[in-house]
Amino acid sequence: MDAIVKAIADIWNESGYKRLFTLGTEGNLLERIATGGVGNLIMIAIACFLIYLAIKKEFEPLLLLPIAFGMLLTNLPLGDVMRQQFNTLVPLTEEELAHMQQGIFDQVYPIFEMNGKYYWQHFETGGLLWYLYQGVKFGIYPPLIFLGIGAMTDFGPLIANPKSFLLGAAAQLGIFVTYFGALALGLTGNPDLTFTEQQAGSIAIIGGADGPTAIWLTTKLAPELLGPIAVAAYSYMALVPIIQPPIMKLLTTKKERSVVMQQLRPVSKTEKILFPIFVTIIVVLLLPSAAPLVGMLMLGNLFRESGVVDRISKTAQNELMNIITIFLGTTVGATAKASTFLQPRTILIIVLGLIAFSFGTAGGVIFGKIMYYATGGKVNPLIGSAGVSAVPMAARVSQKVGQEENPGNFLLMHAMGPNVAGVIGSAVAAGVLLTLLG
Amino acid sequence: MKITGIAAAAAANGANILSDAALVIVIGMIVVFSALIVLTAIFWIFGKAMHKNPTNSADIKEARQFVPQATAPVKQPEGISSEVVAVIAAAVAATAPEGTQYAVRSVRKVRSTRGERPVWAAAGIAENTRPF
Repeated sequence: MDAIVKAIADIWNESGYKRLFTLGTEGNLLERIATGGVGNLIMIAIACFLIYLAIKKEFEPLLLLPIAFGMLLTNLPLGDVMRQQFNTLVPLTEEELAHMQQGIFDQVYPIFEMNGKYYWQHFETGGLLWYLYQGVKFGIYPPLIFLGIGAMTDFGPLIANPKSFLLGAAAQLGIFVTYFGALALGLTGNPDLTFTEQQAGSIAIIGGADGPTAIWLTTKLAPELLGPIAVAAYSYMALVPIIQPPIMKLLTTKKERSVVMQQLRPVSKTEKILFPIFVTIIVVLLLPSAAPLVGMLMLGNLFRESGVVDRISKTAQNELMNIITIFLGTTVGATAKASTFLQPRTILIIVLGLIAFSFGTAGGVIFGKIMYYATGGKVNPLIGSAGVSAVPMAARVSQKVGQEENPGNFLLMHAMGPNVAGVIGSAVAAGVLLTLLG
Repeated sequence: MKITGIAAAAAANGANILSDAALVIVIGMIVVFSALIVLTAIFWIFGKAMHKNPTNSADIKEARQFVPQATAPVKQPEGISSEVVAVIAAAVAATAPEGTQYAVRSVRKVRSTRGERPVWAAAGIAENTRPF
């Protein structure tokens, strides 16, 4: 009987279940929770809630589902899916050295000689997601996602109405305002509210409403914040229909919202082919650091518009995009370990992200109003909010809010111009931040 | 006195941080706007050039070459509406090789014999099983 009880106790002690109900040993209560198993338990609950939102509420499910499951996996104690590969040189002991010289050393590991001393190489393989995470760490996945986005995007509405570019630029206001705000918080002297310039830049890019761009910039500037920033970015993108309409209505009058815009002119195939080439040359020459994002976005678009590489275009839009989405989502979610996620500053990042998003929307709408007055009432300011990116959700919101005032008004194609301009604008803004802060 | 000095240094440091941050805002917005203004100008000029003389565009020339010819009315038995005829004509046009023109002269219902699969069902099965 004792043997059975002991066996059960051994299994319990070695299982992850026991680990779930422990607290860390150092720091205040919050730090002990974050570093202990209880922190993992809280993260598992958060991951399950995000899975619920992705499946039941369909909040950006293509990314939120893998992110949430990655978060779940990484917080199961002892699972070690994100365990780092271990590779180091250990000096041989005198006994091992003697054995080696006698030729009886068991050479399981390779032995190296450096400056007359002998070392054996201690190597442990990493966890599955740690290997996949290298694509995030080295900034490979986000540009590949952009390749797929480029192959899926029709820049026709933007080419037909190039003024939309300006709305895409104005909506980046949220990024820079939030950068200022995040740094200003440091003046309080509270270490929990203090961010470095790099961290402030990474938080601010949430306002670009572009997940791959936010992840790409954060891995370059502040990789320690990747988990909270990715979760905040994708959560807000899913909440665009809730966040944007009140700001849009607040900043516009009924008359402005009712403006019916002229039908867009047809765009020739030549223009569509030249567009990605021109954008790449102009943006990359001006801002070389934006080359990976803008270059891949435009390459994908050239695949689409050239009409001669249909197979490649379809692969970029579907298979490649889906594979990279799985890798990116799961591994980014796996960075959200309890010890890094359950911090007071995570809540602050989420709040700052909301501010960034709101200011971005406001920037676009205000510039839309300027264009409304400049054109004598031909531009509906509601299309400005679509400049924050979040393709095509933000454009749909412009359409929906416009139709609330005038059911016969179709703003969708007009809003798609600033919407896709916002993708280019946020990539340029990310390049600016990387150049100035990197 | 010492505390006042530390507070003054902290305030000066804070002012520096904020002035640097303001500089990032200004530079950032200028660069973003410059890049997109250049693109706006290029594609605005490009659009004007492409559509300056629409009579020269290839699409218009092509459209002019196509002169719709008066055709005899389509013979359609009772029970087949004009909309169905239009859909059939559009389907024929969509599958026709480029440059060829077809005219739908008559439409008749094809009744499937007993035990035979209806035409649309057969087409659906053929479409779905083609990859295999």
